[in-house]
Amino acid sequence: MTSFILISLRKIIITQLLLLCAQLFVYGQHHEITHELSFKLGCVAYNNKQTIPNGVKGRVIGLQYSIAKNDNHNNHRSYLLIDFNTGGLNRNVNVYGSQNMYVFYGGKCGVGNEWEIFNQSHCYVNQFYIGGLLESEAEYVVSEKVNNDNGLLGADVFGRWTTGIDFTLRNQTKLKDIVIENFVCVPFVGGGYFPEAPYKSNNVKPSVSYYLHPNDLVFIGRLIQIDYELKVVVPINQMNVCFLYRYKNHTYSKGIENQKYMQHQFGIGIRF
Amino acid sequence: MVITYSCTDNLFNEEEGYLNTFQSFWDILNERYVFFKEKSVDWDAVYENYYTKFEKVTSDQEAKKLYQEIIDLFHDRHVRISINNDYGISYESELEVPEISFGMVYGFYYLTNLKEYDSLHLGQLPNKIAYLRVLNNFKGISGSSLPLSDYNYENGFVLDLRDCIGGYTTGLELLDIFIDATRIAYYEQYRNGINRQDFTRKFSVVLNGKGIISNSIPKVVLINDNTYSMGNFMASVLKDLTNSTFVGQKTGGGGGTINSVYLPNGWGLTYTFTKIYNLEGQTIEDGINPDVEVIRNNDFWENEHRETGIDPQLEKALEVLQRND
Repeated sequence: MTSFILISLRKIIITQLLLLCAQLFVYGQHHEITHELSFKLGCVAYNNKQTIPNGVKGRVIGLQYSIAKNDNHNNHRSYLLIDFNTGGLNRNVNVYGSQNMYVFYGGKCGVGNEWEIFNQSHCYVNQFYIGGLLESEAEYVVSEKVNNDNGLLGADVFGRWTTGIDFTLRNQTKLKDIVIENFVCVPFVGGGYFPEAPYKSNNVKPSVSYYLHPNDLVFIGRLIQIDYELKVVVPINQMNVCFLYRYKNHTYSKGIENQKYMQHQFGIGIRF
Repeated sequence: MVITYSCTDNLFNEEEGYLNTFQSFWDILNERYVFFKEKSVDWDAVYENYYTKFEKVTSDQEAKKLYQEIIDLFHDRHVRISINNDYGISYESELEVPEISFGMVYGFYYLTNLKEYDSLHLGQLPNKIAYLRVLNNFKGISGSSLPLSDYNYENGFVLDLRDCIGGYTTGLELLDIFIDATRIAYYEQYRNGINRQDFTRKFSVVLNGKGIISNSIPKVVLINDNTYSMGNFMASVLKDLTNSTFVGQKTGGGGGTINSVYLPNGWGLTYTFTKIYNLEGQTIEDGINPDVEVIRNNDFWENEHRETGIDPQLEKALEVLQRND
């Protein structure tokens, strides 16, 4: 079963890379292309049953880049997105004097396609898109050196990576020059490495390759993730400025393992 | 921002109340601790008895006293609560065992060419016998990277695990010099359900042997009641995979690896979250027996040993090696 998952995921990753190249090539053709770069600031709360059962929270900063191609003739939109976040996680009660108990890193990249299913034009334009996103996502939470003679060695690191297919829904409303976008992304199926026993390779000396091997294939239900984004694009001084709010809620469970995190971010960026 | 920040609070338990902290302490161990059965701890009874007691707690001192009572039930030195950098609550063993004065021992037995690594000492004893000692908190170094060619171990090798109360499982890498090939070193098992008898299958852990010190070289492993946790693992692996002679006292046990988490009030909780089994499938929590027992006389170790460095256990080890000449 594991080898089947492994082979399937390899295929998905290879397909994703090919799609990425193909889409980048297509971006060079005659279509309307927009780039968007945003800086984000927000907060995250994290709970991992095995290592952080009582949770930690902190502030995260992030960068998000996307390039989209709009093909108005075919009512089709394709895009590539890259997202990276990092921040310190802590508890208000920290008797060990460390600045941050943990440092959080998270990233996502993917290629997506959307098709317009609804277009309403009155004094404003209201468009609905439905689509899919082939994406890879990873998180890594590493404990700072909280170590003392009484034996608290610092909770273990936690990491996860997933690659899979997400279902997406986008609503875009154009009010003269102002654009309001609502975007929801929900994973439909994903595979990757999720922490579970034995938590490390079966070698006395842990190997990185162990964590690179996928150990689970999850469908919506055991992996519940809602990635929501509200964006307002306003032209200011001949530049399109984006104001965005992003909410992410992630839950993964398998047997005794359960991990959750919730993230709120506000951002500002430019579209060109 | 304030409103959305508060929305994350359901993932976060930081209510410092004594009852909430006790509830978290109980829940975490209930789901993760592996030795309830072996230690004969009735965890439900603990909840019933102590929940009402924690309801009445009003100070840290009272809470610490109750946690000490609970932790003493485990008879497991791996279970402890860290209060701060200087103070913690752990199982108070009834046995007060004097520590060995290794500096004196080195001098008395003419240990030369001493090389000190991070929690590891390598030296040369007279009569072509090499000496390797593992200290606390040993993180690991491949035995094959040690300068063994600078030492003469024609007549034997002494591996001293006494007073080694723990370290990292990666420390087992050191043993690759004694093992001739890639071999299963031990098995480990985890909890995987809310039921206290819910366990995963046993996962094998492999050690890549380098076989530098062949089985034809006589080896003695020194152990005592302070040989605990990683020291105990090492003893178990050597017992299974080599023809070493074990001299000293039964090890203190500690047959599992530990995990550390934070309680809601910021204290740390450390507990055993894996069961380790030897190759015969037996848990090593109760310790490893010596082949040649040399019991400690506390008076001797506290007085004469500290003044002179005389070490009856090491002397017995040297005697065993000489017998093998």
